[in-house]
Amino acid sequence: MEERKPILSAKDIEITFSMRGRYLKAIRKCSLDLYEGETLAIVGESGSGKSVFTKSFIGMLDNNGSITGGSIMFEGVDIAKYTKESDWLKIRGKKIAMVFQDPMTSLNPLKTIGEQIREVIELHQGIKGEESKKMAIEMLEKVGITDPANRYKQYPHEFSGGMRQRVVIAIAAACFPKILICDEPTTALDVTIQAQILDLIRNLQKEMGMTVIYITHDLGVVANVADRVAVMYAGELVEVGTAEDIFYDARHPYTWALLSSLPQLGEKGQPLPTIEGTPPNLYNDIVGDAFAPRNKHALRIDFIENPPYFEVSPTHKAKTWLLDPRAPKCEAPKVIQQLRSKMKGR
Amino acid sequence: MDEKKVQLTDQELFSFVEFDRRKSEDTGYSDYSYWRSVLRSFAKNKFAVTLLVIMVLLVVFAFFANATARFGIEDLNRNDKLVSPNATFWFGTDSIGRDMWARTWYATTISLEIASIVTFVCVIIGIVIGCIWGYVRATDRFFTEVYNIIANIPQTVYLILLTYIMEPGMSTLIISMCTTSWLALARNVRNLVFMIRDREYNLASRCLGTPLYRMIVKNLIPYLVSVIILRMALMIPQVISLEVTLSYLGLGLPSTMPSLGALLSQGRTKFQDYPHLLIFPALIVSIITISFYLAGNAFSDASDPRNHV
Amino acid sequence: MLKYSIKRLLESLVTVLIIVVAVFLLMRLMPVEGYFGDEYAKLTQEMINRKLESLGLFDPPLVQLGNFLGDIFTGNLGVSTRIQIDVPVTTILAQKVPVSAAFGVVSTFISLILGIALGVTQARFKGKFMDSLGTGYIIIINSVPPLVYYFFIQVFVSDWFNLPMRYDGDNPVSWILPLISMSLGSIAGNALWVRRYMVDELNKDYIKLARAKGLPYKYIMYRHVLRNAFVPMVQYLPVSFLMTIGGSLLIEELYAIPGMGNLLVQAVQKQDNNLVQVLILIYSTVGIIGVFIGDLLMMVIDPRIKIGSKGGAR
Repeated sequence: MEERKPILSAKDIEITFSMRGRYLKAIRKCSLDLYEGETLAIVGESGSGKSVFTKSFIGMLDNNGSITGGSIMFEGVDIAKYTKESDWLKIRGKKIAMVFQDPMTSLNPLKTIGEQIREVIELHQGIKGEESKKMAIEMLEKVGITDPANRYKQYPHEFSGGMRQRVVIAIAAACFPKILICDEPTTALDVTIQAQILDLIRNLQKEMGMTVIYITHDLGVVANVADRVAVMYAGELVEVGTAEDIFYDARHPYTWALLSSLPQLGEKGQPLPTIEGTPPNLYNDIVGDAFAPRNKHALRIDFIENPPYFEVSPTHKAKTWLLDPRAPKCEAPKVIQQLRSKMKGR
Repeated sequence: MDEKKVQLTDQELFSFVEFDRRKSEDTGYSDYSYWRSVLRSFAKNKFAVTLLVIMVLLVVFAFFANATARFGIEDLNRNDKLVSPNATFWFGTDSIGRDMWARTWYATTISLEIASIVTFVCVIIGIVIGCIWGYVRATDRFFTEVYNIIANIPQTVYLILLTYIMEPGMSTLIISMCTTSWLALARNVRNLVFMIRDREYNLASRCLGTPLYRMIVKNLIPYLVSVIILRMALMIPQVISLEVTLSYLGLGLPSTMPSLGALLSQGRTKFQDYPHLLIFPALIVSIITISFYLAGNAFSDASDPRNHV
Repeated sequence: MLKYSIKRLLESLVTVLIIVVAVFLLMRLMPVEGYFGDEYAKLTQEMINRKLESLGLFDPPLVQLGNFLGDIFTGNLGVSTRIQIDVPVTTILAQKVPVSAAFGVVSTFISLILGIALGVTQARFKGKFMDSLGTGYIIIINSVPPLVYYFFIQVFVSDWFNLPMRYDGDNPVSWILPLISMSLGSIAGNALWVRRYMVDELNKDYIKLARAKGLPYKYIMYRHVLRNAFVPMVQYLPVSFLMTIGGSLLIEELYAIPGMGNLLVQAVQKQDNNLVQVLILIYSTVGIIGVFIGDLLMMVIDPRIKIGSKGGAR
């Protein structure tokens, strides 16, 4: 994996939102390389900025938000410098596609499923008429919708939630994008359907050679699909590594806390561990490490200076003073050390 | 912060800190208060505040001017018919020599009185009926039917019918406007209550045994405030407009009680030669209605919690 | 779908029936002078009673109601007693309705086109100059009493452009000012709703997906947002078209247009009982019919409603 070239490379991205004269820094200096063909999962609690970060890859920040620093290199161009909608239209949907969380509301209720798929094909591939209809039906079939020719003519309300998410995926995949961003694609679905949707995405990825980014707070999904994992907290990537690194050799106290709140690790009869406290208010300037006040392993320096990244291995880096050579030795909590055996035991 | 760092040795810097539960929480909270935020948001809208001030001044002045006018509204100045505004008759006189200054401000107070009474009554009826309509499912059918019948008849036609049947006069005007104007508010409140009633947090409150009045006061009213204020602010210009229309059609107040509508229609016939007859009433009625409308909109925006930072 | 239509039809009929009964009852409260011409003052009590009896006004209430319904059903709307003495109401209506309707239909078209154009522009450039300009217009039209700006138009605008201040059936130039006055309000109304619906739609999730699909903004605006925003508007179109036969009370009065609105005002002022009764009935039932047609239209246009009766739609 080390020698693979990045397909997209974000450097020191900063994203700021303005709300009635106040500024909110949603993303603070995030750098991330995305390698061709891999599956990357970005995990973090709600409001940590994982959606915002990936939305900036296709220029879909809300109107009051903008990239205020850093670069995103994609196909030799710094797309972070794009300001015109027409620039983004060359990428959006065509090269980088996105699947949203709630399939119930993601489709236009007044257009047939067919029209909504066909739109993309006609727009991006310039195929018109019967041809595009045929392609749309093929796409429906590809995402596992039975009787696609008839389904083509139906409206979204005639589809179940899982089916609608398949349609949304068909729309996203219809133009053979290089990168597919899935923003919590299974959160709104029944557990029984989640696995089907994940399988579908995996198969399409294999077949079409896409790179997939999952945004999720469900570590179960992550364990299932991800090659690499990036952990996000308060607009910063606190730890990045292979799935192996993150699950079995986590170094950041936030990752530890996330992992220990996995229900699978709970002891019978004991309350499930949670991360105490609340994320910081991003309107305020954050001094030191944003996680420090909630960190059970906080050092004094955490409250004074933001830690840099420390490299654990070529694939694994974490942003915590605990990795500094001067730091006292600190072992990961017991549960985490037992993770491997516990997970295997299930 | 660099100073602080200098004072500490590496060893001190890299020592563990006791976990402080209180500290872990307070970064995420703000000292939010609903009404303070409403006022702060409203105060930020300078235009709306200016309008509000103008509106209040105008209303106060109308009553003041009416009380201190030099001439009575029916005093005939036989030698001064159709006089243009001058030092004695600030707004001029009409075709039989009545002082327009006195008549205009008197009419303003009359119109404001009608508008505020109707608005007050309608807001109360509207809220009560709207709440019942939205909260008690069994009544939905009935009220919807009533609404459909009344709402589909043009309001002026309905008012004409009522003023036709009853004796013309102020109470007729007020009663007939009260019987129709609450509808829009009730409908609005009903839709909101209907929507909020079964939201998860209300379900949760109900399961936790929260008493009904507390749920209404804490969970329902804040949602309704912005809508109610908006409706109130819109109703005043509406009622004034209706009164103007009815008076013009000769179905409003008796001639001894000039309202702004009556002044406007009287002024019209001789307007081209004596513009003062129309301009002053028209100007005042426009300022009042526009400022009520805008200030109401601004306050309703300010009272919507979604607009608080 | 057929079942739903029939159900809605029956509901509307019941509503109309309720209105007819209500109007009937209200009319019994009227002073009886309204059933006589100018000769009322000279009549003896006996003559009055004879006339009233011949009109059936001494029959038991239920019989009266039955006769009333029967008359309406057979199209016998009675005669005018004050405005055009002893002329059948239907004859009078046949003169008045076309005038009002002609004005109404033209003005409805004007205000639909301009209103939607304004609303779309405002939504497209939300928060920009055009939006504020439109909002300013809407605020003025919505808050200032219509009479004030009707006056303004009649007095000033007629002067500036040298247009006639009175309606003249043979002179189309004289139709311009009433048409403009009539349209101003509904342009504002249409623009307000189009803008609001479009902004609502713009905030929905499917727009997010449409954008993520890489569709151009303009395409999304017209092919997704406007299309969907138009659906709730369609429901009200039949009402506004049908309502045009009622004419505008103020404008017909101002420009002396011999239409329905003018007729109603005169009938009320002269207390022509029977005419008032018929006019009120027309004004109220037209609305109900319009809503009924609007509901049917909605069903045709919105695919979700077909299933809606089964309760699965969202």
